[in-house]
Formats: sequence, structure tokens, C-alpha cells
Amino acid sequence: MSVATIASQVRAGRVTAAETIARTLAALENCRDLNAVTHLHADRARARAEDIDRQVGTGKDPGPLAGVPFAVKNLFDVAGQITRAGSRATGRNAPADRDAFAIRSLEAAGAILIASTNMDELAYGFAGENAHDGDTRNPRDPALSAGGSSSGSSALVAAGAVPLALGTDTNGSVRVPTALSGVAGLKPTYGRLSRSGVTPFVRSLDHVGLFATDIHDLALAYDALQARDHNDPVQAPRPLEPAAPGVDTSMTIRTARLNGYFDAPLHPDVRTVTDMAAQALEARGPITLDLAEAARAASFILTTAEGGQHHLPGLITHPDRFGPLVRDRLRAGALVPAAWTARAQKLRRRVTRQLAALMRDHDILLAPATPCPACPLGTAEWEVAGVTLPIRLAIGMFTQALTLTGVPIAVLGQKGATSGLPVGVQIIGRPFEEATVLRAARRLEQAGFGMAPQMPEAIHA
Amino acid sequence: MRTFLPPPPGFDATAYARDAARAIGLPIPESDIAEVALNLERTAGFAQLLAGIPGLDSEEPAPVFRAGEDEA
Repeated sequence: MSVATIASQVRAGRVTAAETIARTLAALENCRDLNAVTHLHADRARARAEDIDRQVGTGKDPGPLAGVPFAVKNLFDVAGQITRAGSRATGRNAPADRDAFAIRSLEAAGAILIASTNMDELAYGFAGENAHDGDTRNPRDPALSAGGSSSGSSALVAAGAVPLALGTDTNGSVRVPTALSGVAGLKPTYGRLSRSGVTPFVRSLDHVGLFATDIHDLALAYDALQARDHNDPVQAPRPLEPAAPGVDTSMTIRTARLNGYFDAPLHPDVRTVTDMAAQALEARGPITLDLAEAARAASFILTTAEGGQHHLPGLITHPDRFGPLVRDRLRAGALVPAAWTARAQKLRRRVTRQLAALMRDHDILLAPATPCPACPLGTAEWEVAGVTLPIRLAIGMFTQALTLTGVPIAVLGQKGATSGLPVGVQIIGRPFEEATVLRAARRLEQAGFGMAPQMPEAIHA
Repeated sequence: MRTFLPPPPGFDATAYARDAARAIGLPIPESDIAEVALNLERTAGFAQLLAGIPGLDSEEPAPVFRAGEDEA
């Protein structure tokens, strides 16, 4: 059931929040084999549902997300619990003393936290593989990666177990799993949503993002997440700019497709779906972001360097508690010379300016989200259009190239004709123009884009 | 599309990893050095791509400090 449907039924008293939570807990139990959940907050959710039902019973309105169950990547603080961020390296941290700001925002609108979700360790990966908690499985095919690092959040939404989930996106960790799991996802503008109470990975690139099954739901939840947090120095002092009211508005959206770096290598399904999106939005162009490959390089450098610095104390005192892949990436990052990061920061400014220039004449740019659909879990190399890619890294090559610019980007999953698997298109807007991005995504939905949630039979049985 | 870019000529990632790790007090067991060096080589390749971009060194870096911004 969608966010909008649950909320309207609970607000109207036609369905109770308690029934919704009971149904959601059963759905989460049914998809246990996806390994998407790391913590179930069942008691908390039931207590909160009772409170919501009490409010409805006394004529109060619990809010626009009344009774909507949601999950969060397990790097969001949940009061009383240790925020593990998918790692054993964080296992001896103190429990969080309060919920992350984003959780508080959703609950202030009536939503109910029900689960924390599996992820790539410390958010450093795109595959949803985790040495400690096991790999997240893709509901579209359990042998495949759901995409990462917010793998459990996208998998639960794709399976229809929850209608809404939060993740984070540093280099594509919302956009990649959105595409590979076949859901709708939004990475808002850098600095739009508060990151208070979210375990950092790369502070200069981390974004809070979200997953839902359709664009209306995404817009409703995004609006509830917009709140000023004076404790987050990175949050931009912007007014609330609701996206949901105008998401169906008919207006001209000047669109172009990005080419060059974003043209290869592409699986035929990705190429076709990107073409279809360009056609549906009557895209002009294509146009070229000349610095795309350099931007991806700069983002890689800043990520490994900042991530390595952030975890340096742990790498010195308890290296054995990091998974082997992540540990050596972070160690290498901690050793990156300043000459490399300084150039990356300079490139960041230049590519941001270059993208802004392209967007003077375009409201929306389109680019593929990933080069190919999901590949089997554990895959190191994968051939796409005749090119052998180091796929754990390369699956994020198109999202990582845009992340430095901080612009808002939605992704909408669409079933590929030859593979039968989801692929996605990045719908790229100007800074703080999430409303336009969601309006363009909604137009694609009206043209037939999007995928219904799906619980695979093998797991459902 | 280039999957991995070549690091700067003559860059010895293994020797660099050992020396730089000592400089910042980061212990790296000998058994892990090769994997750390591989990651550094990959990063060096990306850095080399940026080194070839004309005029980049005179660009203003992205983060800008504004005095008084965090004052209540």
C-alpha cells in the first residue's frame, strides 16, 4: 500500500495504525531471506501506532504521513541503540541518545519507524555486500545485488515490505540501489536535508535521501523531511519548498540528455530506457558535461581521503573490526597526499560551474544511473557492451560523476526489455529545485515508467 | 571509457604506503600492504587525470570559509 493511501486511511479512521504495523511486521518476516533488515523496532512501532490511533480517536490529525511505516539505513541514529553503520568497528560506540533529525521529522508528520536496514560497511560500496551482516538480496532476483550502499532500504521498498525508507547518498548510494532494485529515489540538493544523527562517511559529499514506490509518495515524504535544523552547519538556510502540491502541474520542462562520458559503456536496456526517458520529456540536445570523467575522479579522491581520515583513529586502534575490503580502502585513503585532494576541490568548483552553465537553458538533464542492471552478488568484474568493468566500483561511475555538484537528482527504476531487470535514469535539476526534478519524474511515470513492488516467489514461499 | 587510469610514472605505491603510514602512525601489517598499495595506485591514476587539466591549480577550491558563519 502506498504512503498516500495508508496516511489517508489512517487519518480517516478507516484503518488503524496498529493494523498497518501488524501487516508490515508480517511482510518484513516474509522477506527475511532478503537479509535487508538489521534491527526490527517492533515494540517501539507498536507503541507509536497506539499513540497515532489514540490521536485519530480523539479527533486530532497525526499528520500527512499518519501511520506510514518506514525503514532507515542503519547509519541513522535510533535512540537507545548503537548506530553500527554496517560495521563492527562502530560496535563499541555509545548508544544514540536521540533519534536522527530525519527520523524525528518523519515521525512529527505521523510516520512510524519500524526497521533499520542492511548496508555496505560504513557506506563505502555500491554492491550491498557486507562482511559482518551478510549481503542484501535483490527482491527482483535474490541472486543479484540490490545496489548499495543503502541496499536494505531499497530492497524493502522494492519488495513492498515498507512504502518508504531513508538512505544516504555520497557517490550514488541512493541512486544506484534505486535503479538496481527498481524503485523511486531522490537525492536532494547537498545541504537541503539535515544530517544530524547520521553517521558520516564523507562529510563534504554526504546527503540524506529517500526511497518510495512512486513519485507522489516520494514527494510527500520529501516534504515532511524539509525542516530547519540549526544543529547541522551544512544545512542551507532555505525556506520550506514543498514539492508534492505541484508534482502533477503541467508546465514546460526544458530537458536535455547528457552524452559523452555518459554514453558508454551501456547495457542495451540502459541505453533504451534512457532514450525512452529523453523521448518522453521531449529532450533537446544531447549536451556534454566535459568534466564528467574528471569529476568522477575528483569524487573518488575526496571520498577515499575524507573517509580514511574520518576512520583513522579506528584503523589505528582496532583495525581487526573493519571488514577486509573496507579496511584497506580506508587505509589507502588515509595516506592520500594533500596535492591530490587540493586539485579535487578545485575541480569541484569548476565542474559545478560547468554544470550550472549547461542548466541555464535546461531545467532537467538526463543521464543513465548505472551502466548495466544488477549483477550477481560477489561479482568483481562484469562485461558491459564489450568492456570488462571492475563492477563494484564502476556500477557507480555515472552517479559519482555528478555527486560533486550537489544538485538534486531523482532516479526512477524501469524494467529493461532484454534483461527483465530494473535499470534507472538520473533526472538532474538545478540546486534546490527538487520540485522540478520530481515533476519531471512524475511525467516519466505518467509515460509508463516505474515498477510495482515485487516479492520473489522463491523467497515468499 | 577508461576503467583504470595509469598512476604517475615511477610512483611506487608500496614504498609510499609503508613510509606514509609510518608518518601518520598507521600500522599496516605486511600481509595487507599489497591491497593498500593497489587502492593507492587506483587513486593515483585518478589524481593523474586531474593533474593534466589546464589551469586547475589556479582555481579557487570548493569549500569556502566564512568568518562568523557558525556564531549563534
